[in-house]
Order: sequence, then C-alpha cells, then structure tokens
Amino acid sequence: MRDGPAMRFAVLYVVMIGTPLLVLLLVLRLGADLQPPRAVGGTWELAPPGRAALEVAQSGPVLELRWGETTGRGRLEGDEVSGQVGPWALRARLDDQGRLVGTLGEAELVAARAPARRREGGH
Amino acid sequence: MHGLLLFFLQLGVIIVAARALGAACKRIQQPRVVGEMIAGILLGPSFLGWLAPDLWAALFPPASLGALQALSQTGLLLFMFLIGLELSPKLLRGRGHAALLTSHASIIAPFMLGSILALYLYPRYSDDGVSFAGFALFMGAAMSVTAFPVLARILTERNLLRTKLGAVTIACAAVDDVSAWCLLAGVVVIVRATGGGEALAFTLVGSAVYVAAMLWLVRPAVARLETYYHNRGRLTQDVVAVALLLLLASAWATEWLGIHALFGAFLMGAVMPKEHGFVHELTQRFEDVTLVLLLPLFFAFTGLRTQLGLLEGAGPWLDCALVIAVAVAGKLGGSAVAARASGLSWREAGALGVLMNTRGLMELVILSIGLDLGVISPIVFVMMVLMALVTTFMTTPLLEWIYPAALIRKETIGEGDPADADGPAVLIPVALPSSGPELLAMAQAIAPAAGSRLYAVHCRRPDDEDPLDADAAPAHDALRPLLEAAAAGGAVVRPMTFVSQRFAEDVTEVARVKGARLIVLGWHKPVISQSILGGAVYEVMRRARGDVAVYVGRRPPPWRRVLVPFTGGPHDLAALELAGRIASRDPAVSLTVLQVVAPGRTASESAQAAAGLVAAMDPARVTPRLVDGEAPVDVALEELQRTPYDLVVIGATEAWELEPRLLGATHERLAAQPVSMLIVRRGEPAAVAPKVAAAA
Repeated sequence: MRDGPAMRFAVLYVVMIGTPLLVLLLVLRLGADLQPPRAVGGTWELAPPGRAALEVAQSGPVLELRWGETTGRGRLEGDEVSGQVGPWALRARLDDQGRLVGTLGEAELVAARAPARRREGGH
Repeated sequence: MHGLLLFFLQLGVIIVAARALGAACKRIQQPRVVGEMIAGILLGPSFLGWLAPDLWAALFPPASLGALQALSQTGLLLFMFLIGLELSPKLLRGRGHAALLTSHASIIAPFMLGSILALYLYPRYSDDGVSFAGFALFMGAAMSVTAFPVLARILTERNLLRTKLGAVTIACAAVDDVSAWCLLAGVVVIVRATGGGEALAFTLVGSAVYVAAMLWLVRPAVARLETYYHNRGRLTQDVVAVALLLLLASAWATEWLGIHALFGAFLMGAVMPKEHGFVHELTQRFEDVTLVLLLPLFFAFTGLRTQLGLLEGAGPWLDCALVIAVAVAGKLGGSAVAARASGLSWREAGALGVLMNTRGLMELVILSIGLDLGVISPIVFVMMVLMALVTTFMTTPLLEWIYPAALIRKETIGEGDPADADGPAVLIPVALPSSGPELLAMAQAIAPAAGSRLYAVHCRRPDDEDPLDADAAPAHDALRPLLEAAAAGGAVVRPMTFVSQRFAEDVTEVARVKGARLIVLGWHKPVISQSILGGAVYEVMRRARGDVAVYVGRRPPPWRRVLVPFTGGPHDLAALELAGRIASRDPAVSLTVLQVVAPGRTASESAQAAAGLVAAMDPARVTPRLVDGEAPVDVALEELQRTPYDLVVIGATEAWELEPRLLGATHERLAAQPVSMLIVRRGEPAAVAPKVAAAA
C-alpha cells in the first residue's frame, strides 16, 4: 500500500519528536519550583563611597571575588557570604534590603549591589 | 608597555599559538579548530596564568582586553556571515524523510536531555537571578548545536561528501544550524525579557518585522548584487563594501531589537545570493582575515574566560563528565537512532551521529552569548567549553572506528570491482587538465599490453570541494581533456576523481587495488624545489609496487627519435623495456640505446639482459651504441648535443643524477635539456631479473 511508508514515517515522527517535546514541557514545569542560591554576582559598591567596588562572579554557591587588584574565592551558604580576598577575610550576610553587611578584613562592610553587568539589548 | 605595542604583541602571540596548535592537530588528523580552541585555553588563566602568572598578567592585563574583545566580536560577526553565506536553501529542501526526521530528532533529543540536565545543574551552579526556563532552554539549545563548517570539512576530507551519508548529514547540519540559531534567538528574548511585557512585545514584533523585511525586501534587493557581479565578471570592492555595510546594518538591527548582533550577521549571510561563483569569491575575500586573524582572537578571549580552576574537587569534575555524557547521548545517540529508524544502516547511522556530535566553534559562540547574558555561570561555561572540546576531538577517532577510512577508500575506488579482474592495468594520475592528453598518449605507448586497462585519476584537494554541491556527481572536469582525447582515439579510460590529502599514499593504493603494474604521471615545476624526482612524485615512486614512469613533456607526441641512455641496473632495464614498447607500437620510431661503460669494466649482468632485450627488437629501428665514459651524464649530454631527439627514456638510476639530493651543483643536467623525458623506476627490484629474462 502506498500510504504504508508515509504512515510509518508519521508515527516515527510523532514518537521521536512529539515525546521529547512533552518531556521538555514537563521539565519546565518541574524546574519552576527549584530553588537555586541567591544571586550575588555583579558589582558591590562599598560604603562609604570612594572605596574600590567588590566584584563577584557567581557559579551557584561558589564566588570569585575581586577587590581592586586583589582576587580571591568565597562561598554563599543561604544568606551568608564568606571568603578571602588577598589578606582580607570576608564575612557578611545579605540583609532584607539585599545589601551585604559584615566585615572585610578589620573594616566594617556595607555594600549595595549595582545592576548586573549583563549584556542588554540596545533599544 | 605602550597600549598599541601590547596589542600587537597580543595579536602575534595569539596567532602563533593558534596556528601552531592548529597545525599540530592537523598532523594527528584532528580538525584545526580543536588546536585553536586548546590554544585559547592555554593562553588563559588555566595554563599560562597558572604557569607564569607575572608574564600572563603583563601580556593580558584586564585593561587591555577591550580592544581584543571588540576585534574578536567583529571576527564573530564575519564568521556568522560566512556561515549564513554557506547555507544554501537547496540543502534544506527535498532531502526526503531520512533527513527531515534525523535533523529534527538531532535537535530535539539533545534539547530535551539538556533541559533535563538543567534540573540537576540549576540549583547547584546557577542563581535566582536567572529563571529556570531561561537556563533550561539555553542548556537545551547549547546541547543541540552542530559545527557545520567542521562537519563539512571532515566529510570532504574523508570522501564522504558525495555519498548518501554525506548528503543526509550536510542537510541535517544545515537544518540544525538554522534551528539552533532560531531557538537561541528565542531563548535570548526570554532571558532578556526583564523589562516587562512592553519590551518583550517590542522584541517579538520587531523581530518578526525584521525577518519579514530580510526575506521579502532585502533578499530581492541583494539579488541585484549577483547580476552586478556577473556583468563585471568579478567581485569589485564596491560589492564587498555593500556586503559589509549590509552585514553591519543587519547586526545593528538585531542587537537593537534585543536579540543579538550575531543573528543579524547570520541572517544577512543567509539571504545573500547563492550563485556559486559569487558566494565563493565573497567567501574568499572575508575568509582569510576572519579565520587567520580574527577568530583566533575569539578563541583567546574565550580561553581568558575559561577558568579550569573553578572545577575544584571531584564533584564539579564529575558534573563536567555528566555534561559531556549527556551531550554525547543526546546528539550522537539521538541522531543515530533517528537515522537508523529512517533507513540508514547502523554503520551510516552511527557515523552520522558522530558527525552531528561535533560542536566546534559554534558551541563556543553560543556559550559566549550565554555567559554575556548571565544565563550560565562561569563554572557552567567551563564545563560546556570542555564538552565542546571533547565532542569535537572525539569525532575523528570515533568516525574512524565506526566508518574506517580504509572502508571509505575501498568504496570510493571500487575495490573488488569485477571489471578490474582482467589484464594488466595502467594508472594515469592527472594533476593539470592540459597535461591529460599527452599522459594518455604516453600511457598507451608504454602500457604492458595493447589492451591494458587504463585508469585516469584526479585527486582533488579538500579545499577544492564545495559542500554546497554535495549532491552533484563527482566532477571529472580535470580529466575532461584526457577523456575527450581517449574518445577521439577510440580508447576506453575509466575516470576516477576523489578527495585526497595524501596524494602519494592514495595513488599507490588505487594502483594496488586496480592491479596496476605501471603508473604514468606527469611532472610540473614545483614552487620551491627544482627537483624532478622530489616531493609527491618521488613519494609515489618510493611507495609503488609496480613500475612508475614520470613524464616531463617538452615535445608533444609523436616521439619518433628516442634515446635510451643505459648504464645498468633495474631502473635502466625498465626504461629500455618501456622504450622497446614504444618502438614496437609505432613503426616510425627509431631507438638509440646508448650504453655507457666505464673504461676497463666488463658488462654487468643487467647489461647482458639489456643486450638480450635489444636483440629481440627490430634491428632496422634500433641502434645500439657502446661508449666508454667515466661520466655517463656527460656522454648522454654529448649525444643530445649531437643528435636531435624527441624523447629520452631513462632509468631513475643514480648515475643520471636525477634522484633528490640535498646539495648538488651538477644536479639534473640531463633533465634541463629541451627534450621530452620519461624517467622510469622499477618497482620490486628483486623481481626484475626473471621478468627481463622472460622478456628476452
């Protein structure tokens, strides 16, 4: 019958393309409830103004820190941020207003996050 | 260091590293892009920054990277334009069910697995600044990409381009290319849609208008470029300038709309006219500067952002292995299963899966977009870069395992063809079309028997192949003059054209398979060396099991007066034997055998055999001459000065100073004479004596 191969192709197509599409939809639904770490990546402007900003590159809970010419690593556990930038230890937490409050070395730290340096559209 | 000086130094270091590692990868049968990707990583913090931190900091200070980034982005724009330019609509149409199902499955399977993987990676390596949907869709799109240029190159180099597998694979890769970029455009819109419904609506409506304008306004308009190109007969600088401006305008439009400049570049290339000459010439104008100068900057810039140190401890490395496994399972597995279900054999389906699994540079482009957008974190970027590297690297060895080159060669040259069973055969490799008729005449004159099978072979370089014409039958353009001459003379010649990277190896393999006892090839002045028996010609002589005759054409046939200088040895004997055939097939030929013997020496065993050969010839047409001389070349030169000959048939014997030498002031004096030459080298010297005895 002439329709045989066409029918077989249609069934194959639906199975091989349709099924993954359904799985994809299911995944998107399941993933909507996932809770990743809080976003702390970007530039943190330290108070009082005039001090070098703290740059944070975030990979989940792992943080890469840059303060002026000094670099280091940190970690995010819940709202707590800890790490080491050169000789300075960082201990801070994210407060309700989204600021980092704690200490950087011996000095008190209060930092507000500047908008993320993500590439935006031009319009 | 002064900014400009540092910039030049950076350029130099990057180009040297990329070319060196690219060449090294070529030597181990890997795509050049693998070496260039590795070069980028080696120049980054993971290697140079770790090995020599001070040097690295001095060479790539953060403040200096702006110029590198701008140039690398320009390179990417040009590269995406070229990718679009190479995309022919005919690759997307009418390829049947196999290509349709396989191409769609090769996208959706890795897309699905990538999004499933996102369920695991998102809580570990992302943050709540990125939506799960954006992350999952990006991972899906990044997993589903295929490196069209690398894939086309591998198909070409392995002589698979014109097979059914090649046609389906190219079609699938083309569909994947378009689909991946469309999907990614959608993902970019979703990720960037942080400005509320108004911004999203602007992007969506604007993109629809832009695409419609490109298809129905710009495409017909740029079709005039093709007409202009034809009228002028070449690509003028004005046309190149227009193409560049259109590319920049399109890139600007898509960036402004909130998708990405690279989409604009790609689409501009895709709507350009697809006439072969126009595309070829435009590609040539842009290709060198893009591939040699600008893309290595992108690789270096990507390497600078690839910090392997982020994979700290076993956990991240295992996760990286998981990413690679999922990528391979989705792309290779999905494509192979779909191809098998579509009717390809398991071997073909497996090869298709392996080829589609090649990520190459396209993956790096997509990953850079993802990192710029913030949709993937630096550690996911590292994992995916490693995945791109591994999947590209594994392509060649896996393909060799599934579809060995020996098997492809066997299919290409038709090993086991029943037509090859009878009689002796002569192989005629032809490089320059114009040399074909003379080579044919020579091959007919010196063939082992009048009815010998004649095979004309033209080896094309991979660069000469056009993936856009994957469907076309193998073109025997280079053999056409030879075939026309054969048809005019009523001779039957079997043409063979295939892609070869190793000319000598492939020619001798064809000779072996076809049972050719003689290879007749031409000589053309090389670019660097003056040596006749050098390079590929010498390599063919060294490898061939049968006799090899190199023809240096200076006087066209018919060759009436033939000189055979002779000192002894198997090659001189072979030359005499072939000259005897010339004389036996043309009654107008007169043969002079100039035997040079050092004073006080007796005739060697081969000289006695030669005497036997001469004795068997028609004494009216053969003039044997015995001359005493310490320097055989001088004796032969004197003879050539004294008597005008049409052809000298000579053995590749050391006495004639034709073998390659490192130093040699008197080198090739004979070859410099204004007379046609046939230089003969006997294969399998051990078997010479019985043959000669039999002939005598």
